[in-house]
Amino acid sequence: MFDPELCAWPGCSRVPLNGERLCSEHSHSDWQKEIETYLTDNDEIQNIMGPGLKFRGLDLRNKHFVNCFFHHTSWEDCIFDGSRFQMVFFDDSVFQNCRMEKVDMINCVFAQSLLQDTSLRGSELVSVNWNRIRCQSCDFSESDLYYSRFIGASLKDSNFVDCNLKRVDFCLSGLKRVNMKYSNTEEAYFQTEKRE
Amino acid sequence: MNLFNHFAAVGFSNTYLLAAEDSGDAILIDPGKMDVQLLELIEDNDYYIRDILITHSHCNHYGGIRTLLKLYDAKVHSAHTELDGIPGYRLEEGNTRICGLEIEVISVLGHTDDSLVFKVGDFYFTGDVISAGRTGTTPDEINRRVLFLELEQKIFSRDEHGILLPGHGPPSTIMAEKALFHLNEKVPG
Repeated sequence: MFDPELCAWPGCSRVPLNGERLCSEHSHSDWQKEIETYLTDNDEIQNIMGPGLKFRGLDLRNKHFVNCFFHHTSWEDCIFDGSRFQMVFFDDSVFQNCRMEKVDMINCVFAQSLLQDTSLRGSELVSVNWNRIRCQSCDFSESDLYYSRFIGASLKDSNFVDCNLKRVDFCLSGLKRVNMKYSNTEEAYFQTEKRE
Repeated sequence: MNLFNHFAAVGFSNTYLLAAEDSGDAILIDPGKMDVQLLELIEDNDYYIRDILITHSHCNHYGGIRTLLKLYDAKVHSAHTELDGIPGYRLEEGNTRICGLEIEVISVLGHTDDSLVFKVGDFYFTGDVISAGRTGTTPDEINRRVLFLELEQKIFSRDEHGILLPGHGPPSTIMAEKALFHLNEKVPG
């Protein structure tokens, strides 16, 4: 299991890289390349810490991510189609032009991340923390978002067509040109209200 | 430390199983419901439940202990010496060692007067006092202010990379929750 102690560099509050004492900025070893190779070469990806790394053009289809920590990472032109994610932290990260279609995700964290031109179409996205994400031109259509939270999120030009929105929380969110056609919006929360 | 999460559709609650590395003995936190999936999680990973930790005395957080105690010779730990007629061990605020794991017990008042947060490494098992984007419900405005003050002083003052594992809903981090907390003093409930 990951154990996010802080980078040993004086005054640095970032999280260190996997097995390292230093973060991506202060580590002099080639962790970027090593983590990339590990991600692409292995199907079972468990207990990996790669905070602060930047990935581009990775093919990560049909992987199984468990208990990984990718806080403050950047993913550009990456494909995750068919992958499974359990308790994976992508908080404060950037996803640009990525494809995560037909993924199976539970108890993951994207809080405070930026998602742009990214598709999660046809996915199981159960109990996922999307709070305060900034999401532009993304596609969640035909996905099961059961019990996920988008509190304080900014959603623009995005599709949630034919989704299961039961117990999905959009309180305090800004929605502009968001299409929720054929989705059960009556079972989602849009108002600030008390509940059990 | 090995950590597993079980989501019970009844009560929409999370139960956590954790164990020290290379140990067959494990802790369950908030078994609100004992079901086949939870039993499989325990047995398929070859664990024996030695200790059960309860964050607070709401039945959707301890409802499974009667069944569990028929299967395992486990100790029940909470803020009380007795829970629903079951004798247990009272936890005080501070550090303790249970099942080979160092655990910091943090009392966070407001949601209930017996709510405990368990810190194990950088993981905070928060029960109902805070979840992703939400604070716990409170009986009145005074307790709401108490809960906010307790969260500020006892949780948000910690390392921002701390990981919050709540009794309901997805996980979060202290960093993410601090940002939302100050956005709109959180959404109640």
